[in-house]
Amino acid sequence: MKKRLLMLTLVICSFLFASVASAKEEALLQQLIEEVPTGGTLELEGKPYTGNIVISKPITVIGKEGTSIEGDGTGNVIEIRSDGVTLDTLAISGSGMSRSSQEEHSGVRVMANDAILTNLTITNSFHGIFLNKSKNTRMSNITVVGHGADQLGTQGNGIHIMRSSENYIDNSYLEKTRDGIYVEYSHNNFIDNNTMTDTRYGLHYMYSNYNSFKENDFIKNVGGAAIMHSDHIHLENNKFSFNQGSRSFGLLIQTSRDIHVLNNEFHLNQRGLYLEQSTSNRIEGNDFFQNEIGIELWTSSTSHVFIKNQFNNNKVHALTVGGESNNDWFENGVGNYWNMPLLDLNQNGIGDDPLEYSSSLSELVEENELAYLFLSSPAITIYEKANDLLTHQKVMAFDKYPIMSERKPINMTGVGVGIILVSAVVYVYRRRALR
Amino acid sequence: MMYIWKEFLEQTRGKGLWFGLGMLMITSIFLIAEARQFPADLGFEALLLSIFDMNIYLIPLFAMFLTSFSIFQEKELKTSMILLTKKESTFTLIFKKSIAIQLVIITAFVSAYFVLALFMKAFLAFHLMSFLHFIIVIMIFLFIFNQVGLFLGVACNTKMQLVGANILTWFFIVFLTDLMFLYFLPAVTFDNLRIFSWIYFLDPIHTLRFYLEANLGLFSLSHMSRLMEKFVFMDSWIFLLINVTLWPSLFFGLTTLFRNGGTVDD
Repeated sequence: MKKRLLMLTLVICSFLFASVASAKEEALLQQLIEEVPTGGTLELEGKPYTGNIVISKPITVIGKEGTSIEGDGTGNVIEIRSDGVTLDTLAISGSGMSRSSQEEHSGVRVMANDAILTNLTITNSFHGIFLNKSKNTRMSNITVVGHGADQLGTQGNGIHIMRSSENYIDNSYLEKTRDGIYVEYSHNNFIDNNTMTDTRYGLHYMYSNYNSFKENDFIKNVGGAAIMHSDHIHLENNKFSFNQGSRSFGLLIQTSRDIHVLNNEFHLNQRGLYLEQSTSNRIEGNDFFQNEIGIELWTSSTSHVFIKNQFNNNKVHALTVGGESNNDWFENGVGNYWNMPLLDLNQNGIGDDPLEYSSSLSELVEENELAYLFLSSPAITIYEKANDLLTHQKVMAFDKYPIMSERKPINMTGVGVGIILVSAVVYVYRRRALR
Repeated sequence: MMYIWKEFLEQTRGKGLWFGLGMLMITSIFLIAEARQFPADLGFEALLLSIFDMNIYLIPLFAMFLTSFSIFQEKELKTSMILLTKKESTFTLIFKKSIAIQLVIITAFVSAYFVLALFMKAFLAFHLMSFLHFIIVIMIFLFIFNQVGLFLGVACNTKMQLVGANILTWFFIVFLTDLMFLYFLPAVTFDNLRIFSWIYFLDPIHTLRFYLEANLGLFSLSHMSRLMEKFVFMDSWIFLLINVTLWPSLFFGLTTLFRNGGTVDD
């Protein structure tokens, strides 16, 4: 009995002392921050610290390998309320996850301007970083890891930008969050050289204009990037690959105009580019390679210009769904490359005849979503041919100046040697058989 | 064991198996060369799916031709008659022949893929688990169509008939079924979707592709529409299990039922 009482006392004491210690440490970290003079630097040791903390003056908090700040699971782990704060080399986790609280919590909440966030790893938080009415925040080498596809709805975004402008994000990695980067009512933001994977949408714009994203890698998301209700966005040299699923896409442009899609790669997506209710967008110099559908264009999308795009090995290069639409597949004597046989007798690099890309699949897709299940089927070729004969096919794209392929000349020496070798083997085999 | 050894000798001495394996390997090597352009992260999985898409044409054709001609030869050379008069019943003969054919053909094709795995390993980011999923799918694919071939071999009377039956069956399986699906598609609604789903997944080619896509991470089963959620109402591996049980058993049953289809009683 005595032993049991002693054990119980020890357990209770250990709990009590543990909580006192953590409370002390929490107070200590906040106190350390308070003690740093304005413009000063707080260097943390390579050990765990307890949040949540608020930074209300311009300081630099710099950690070492092993420095972590663990939130108590009720609010923001780090809240920045002053301009000019820098956070560097920290592992942050444990924000509040409740969706019914007054605000959506995050690992780092920035509510001021000119913050610099570098080398941060954020886990187990609702949003990774939340910018609220912030200007000129620079985020570099940020890693945010969410809880995965099963909990996409119950978690936040990797980086959430709300009513904030002129922010920069580069060299970051966002994985398993709801959206990788979510931008709402925010203009003039620059997102370069990041990787978004296993998210719902890698990058998602809502009501945000004059933004730019370059050289990002969108891989294996439900949708690569979604531009909705946003105008004047420039995207260049991004890679959209393996965005597969029944409703997946590499890039979605919906209810948006003046989007410039320049020199991007769309590989192995369900749909490479999906355009809906949009107008006056420019799709130029992109590579659509081995997608189920290269470009899916709903009738509500008009006045687009498609030039210098390469269509290779897609099951369907372009699909116009919902009837005729008014788009240009050439401009100033330059069209697109379609990977189809063409004649170029005058050797000017442009096909001698216009190219009509036609298909009957648009009606099927329009009527039933399940049509996507058959895009890989061998029967599709016969279906298309049959409808071609019965004149059920519709013109999906009319390219007056299709570009000729830049074919490499066939290595005739290699082919010759191959033929000689095969002939020699057959000859020897036949001679031996005759003996 | 004797049946397996006999089958092994017959198949390896014939040209059909080598021709089939050769075709498979050459086309796969072309696809491996093409896959080097894919993004590194999931390029290997995309390659496996491309090889599967190619196999939709090749495997049913080779499997049916090899197995149907193998059993047809037993009839033609009267070896089946000798066996039946001595110690075997029709059922045991077909059963043992099925085991032998399945084992020899599946081993040969899977071995070819393990040789190809060396090329894959050399040129791409090789993922063992993805490769094993692919091998399982290929084995099931062969298992089903070997059994279909056995049925055709027993049911046909002449070689000409057999060639015709093989080609027609191949054309029906590979092209016509999907063409019928496409023409019936507009009639599918949310209410009758479950029936469509059953019919769709009872086509082994559809199920095998779906299983492979899902397990290679190339088809996301999250964030699907209500229609798609109702359509995929069961795990893909259960559909796979149903296919792997249903079709070989059915065709084995039909083979024993049509055992006299090709023989002429004096």
